Amino acid sequence: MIWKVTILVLYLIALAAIGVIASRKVDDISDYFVGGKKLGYWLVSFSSRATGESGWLLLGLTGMGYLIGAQAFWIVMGEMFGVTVCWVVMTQRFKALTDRYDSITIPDYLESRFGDVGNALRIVSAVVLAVFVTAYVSAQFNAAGKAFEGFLDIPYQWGVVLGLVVVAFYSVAGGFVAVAWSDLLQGVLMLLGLVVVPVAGLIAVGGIDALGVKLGAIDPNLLSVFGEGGANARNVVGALGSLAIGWAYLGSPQLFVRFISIADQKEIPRGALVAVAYTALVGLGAVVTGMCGRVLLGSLADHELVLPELSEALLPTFAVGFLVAIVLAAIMSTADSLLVLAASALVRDLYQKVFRPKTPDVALTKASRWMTIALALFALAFALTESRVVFFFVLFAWAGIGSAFCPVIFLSLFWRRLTRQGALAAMITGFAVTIFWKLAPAAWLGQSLIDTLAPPDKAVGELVAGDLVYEMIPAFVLATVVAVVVSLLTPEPANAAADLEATKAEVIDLWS
Amino acid sequence: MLTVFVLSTFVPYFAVTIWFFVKTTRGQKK
Repeated sequence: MIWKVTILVLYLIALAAIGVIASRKVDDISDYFVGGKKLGYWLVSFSSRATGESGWLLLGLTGMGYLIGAQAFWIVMGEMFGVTVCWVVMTQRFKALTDRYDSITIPDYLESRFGDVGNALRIVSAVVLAVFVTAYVSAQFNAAGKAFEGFLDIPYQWGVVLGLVVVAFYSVAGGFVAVAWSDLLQGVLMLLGLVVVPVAGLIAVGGIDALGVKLGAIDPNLLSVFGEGGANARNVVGALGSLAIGWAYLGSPQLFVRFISIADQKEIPRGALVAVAYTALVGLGAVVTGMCGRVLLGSLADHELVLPELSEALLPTFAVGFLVAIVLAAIMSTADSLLVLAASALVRDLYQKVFRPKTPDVALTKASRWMTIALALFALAFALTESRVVFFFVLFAWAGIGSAFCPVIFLSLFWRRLTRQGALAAMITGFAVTIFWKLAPAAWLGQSLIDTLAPPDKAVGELVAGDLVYEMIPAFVLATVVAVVVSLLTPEPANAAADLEATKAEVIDLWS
Repeated sequence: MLTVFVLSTFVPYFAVTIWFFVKTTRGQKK
């Protein structure tokens, strides 16, 4: 207990120091939101990876490895796909375009790209982010409360509040610079945890071959990538849903705002290597951790506690202390980035751009800090009500942000015909369909779909459409279709062809 | 079967990224 608390306190002091040091570097609003566009590739790739992976990776994905075994590799595959496409195909163009437009937020970029004079895109972006970021962050506080409770026996509510205080402190003080540097520290910690624990697990189990044999003895389905019943409709649709998790890497603002902050185009290829390697290591590490836990721990009351339980069983006490810090790192690195993002959407994109264009930078930076606190408190209120399942709440917010923004961002980089109206319609579609799909009773999809796709462990009356098919799939696909159709019916933005042509010159041609 | 699946997760994505890395950093030296 002493060890755990000591290490945790050291970690929190390090984070606070980062907040203080970074706050000295913040002079204007561009510093606060994108670090003055001066960040190197290690910082950007670790920051985007640590933001993209949250408590969901450490508690959720390890839990999936425990629960469904090899089937969880589909999730890793989806993530690898998303991260690779994002860094290899999209980042260079996005960086070149945002530099050309001098954008510091995603709505800035959308406005310049589509010549949005009426601010409609800004308003829709701010609404989407305010809703889903609050959900996402409150899920992270939820997880923080559970982590404190599980590891240190601190009452849940106190854990939530403690998590809030630390996150709010350094994201308010240092803004983006603090968040990016603390993301680097947290990203390194997460990587360490997801290498050390599975390696210790594999040694305890007796190697990879032994893991296969012992898992197969518990349940042969744990070694099948489709699970029980083989490649039937339910398992294939489930695998597609896991792959679709990766789609949200194709333009989610909390990740793409990091690419605006890169110092130079030259940093991108190196960042790509780091990001893909990172994803491979943590994804594989998380699933193997879960699998080893299944062999070594037997049955658990909550499968999402496999990482803490396994580390308690295998590692010395001080290392367990580190692990508490690591789980909190994952939770906080996501929560702080999202808070800064949502604050930027509300202060810079709504308040400054729509209502008070002449607000001085000092007042804006101050307003951003207050907005960050207000949003954190709002998320806290949600988190204190307890009872939520972190895993699915995160995937819901992930789908909402992903399907509202990704089809638009992706098409905007490659298709000059994408129009303001097309983008607007797509964002509203992605937003609305995600919420609808999560709330609509499954019965609306028809009994035959329930029979083929419904998970066996849930009562039919409680089933929603999202239980049959992950909400990302309908929301993302419909948003893409709407973007294309509406764009073809409306006139091409005047500057789009010239802008995309000019960026091509800056982007290194891969085919030459 | 499982090995094939896991390798098919990692190898293609690494291959693409390394190809991207080599292509783009070469371009810078010119």
